[in-house]
Amino acid sequence: MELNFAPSDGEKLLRFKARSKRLKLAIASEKAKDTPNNDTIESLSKELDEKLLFLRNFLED
Amino acid sequence: MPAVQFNLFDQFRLNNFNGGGVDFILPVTGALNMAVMSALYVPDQNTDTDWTAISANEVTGTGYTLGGNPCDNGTATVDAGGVVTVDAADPDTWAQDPAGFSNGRSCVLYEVGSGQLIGYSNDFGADQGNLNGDFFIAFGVAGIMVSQR
Repeated sequence: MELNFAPSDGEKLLRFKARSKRLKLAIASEKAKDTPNNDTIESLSKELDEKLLFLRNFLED
Repeated sequence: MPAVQFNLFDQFRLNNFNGGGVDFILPVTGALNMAVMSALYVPDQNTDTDWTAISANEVTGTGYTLGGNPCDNGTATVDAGGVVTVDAADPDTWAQDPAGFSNGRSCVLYEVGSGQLIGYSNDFGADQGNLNGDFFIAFGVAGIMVSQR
């Protein structure tokens, strides 16, 4: 595994893209449970929105 | 853009198979922390287990909360190829402060509740901190750990 300190925007882009995919998987997995935890879904969704906003802004620049 | 290797502690890997594993998923906030360590901390990958035993060697300075910053939203996911990936949000940025820390040489991820050490980075190669600018740490693209089929 790897860890970046002071990552560039390009490195953040790759990291956030990969993280967004995992967040989508985690949200779908939580929603599929018999008793989904709404707090978990809300928290994961909030982070996903933040990551997608970064990616959108990066691509628009 | 410097990148360093992130290593899992051996006792953490062992604990995942003997009933002492870390629950990365819940609670969604406050479960995991990333702390920045000074050069005084010399990791022993094979034997280090407990945050309280090493916490005296973390950095101090304005803008740095003792214990480090949380890595919220732990996730454990499996893709169609059977690759299991454990990940979490990156810790919040340590904002620039003229009275901040300048002697960060590595970082440590641990579970807040139990103090169980999870992983650590290799040496940054030079002192780092938030004295002259924001300090931000991000996990690599692959996350915290991966288990192949």
